[in-house]
Amino acid sequence: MSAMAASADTRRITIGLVFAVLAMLSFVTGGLLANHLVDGGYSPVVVAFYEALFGLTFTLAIRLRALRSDRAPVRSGWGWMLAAGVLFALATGSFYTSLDRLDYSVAAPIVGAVPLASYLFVLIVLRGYERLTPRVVFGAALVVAGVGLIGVAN
Amino acid sequence: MGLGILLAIVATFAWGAGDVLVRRAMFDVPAELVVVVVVGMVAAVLGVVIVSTEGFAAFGGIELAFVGIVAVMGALIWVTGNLFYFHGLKRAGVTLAAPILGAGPLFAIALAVVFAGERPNLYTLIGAFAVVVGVAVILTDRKRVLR
Repeated sequence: MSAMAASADTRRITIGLVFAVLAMLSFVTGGLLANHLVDGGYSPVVVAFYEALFGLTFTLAIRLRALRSDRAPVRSGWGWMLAAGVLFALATGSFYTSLDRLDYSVAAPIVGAVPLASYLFVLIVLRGYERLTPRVVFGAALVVAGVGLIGVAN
Repeated sequence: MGLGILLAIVATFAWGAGDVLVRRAMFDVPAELVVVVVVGMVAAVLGVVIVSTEGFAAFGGIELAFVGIVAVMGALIWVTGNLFYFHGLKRAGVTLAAPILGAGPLFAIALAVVFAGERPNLYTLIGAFAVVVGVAVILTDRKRVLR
């Protein structure tokens, strides 16, 4: 019985890892396509706008039924979502504009430091959920050194 | 080049902060609604920026190939990217799934070399590797999570 449970666990985790790999490939391919359009002379902000417009259309089409049955969000939820939207707009616009000036192979590793930036904001916004450990400090130092090296080298 | 690096760093912090606000929003709101509101807000903000800086003319002169590519990008970034990642997190947990996403820069460089013909220098490769290892070190530290 326990062997069956372990097998189910392994299968669940394996499927999860496959999903994570597909998500990573989706993000990376999306960035490469953005780089292609920006290199082709399109305005980076216009590219980001149309990408978001299609993203909105697809997410609405796929999740419309689920959205109808969802409970209404509380007022504080709206504040967090709208603020997140402004930040994501700033992020997408800035990243695609950076692709106008940098190779994708230079800009992508810098944006790879997003988890570190998230971690810093978790310590501020979601205080009490995570803490600073020596291992985290070491990892952060590696990320900062990596981004610094890319910046200096380019 | 300096401005390009600065913009990439701005994007990194904005995405980092945005991710945290999304996580906070999901305390009160279902994930599906968060994604729809956030992507709608992104389109609205960028639309206002375009109109105020480039005028309505910037929306015109779009070729069919452009529409096709941005449609694929919209699906990749906002549907398969986020949707698959949420499913990955649900099944494998953040400790296993998040470092995979953190390895993205290495695949980005590989794709840029193969499909865009870019030739990153050695320091860029070493820097990218340091970023990926650093992110993996942070995300796999279970002791950092209090609850």
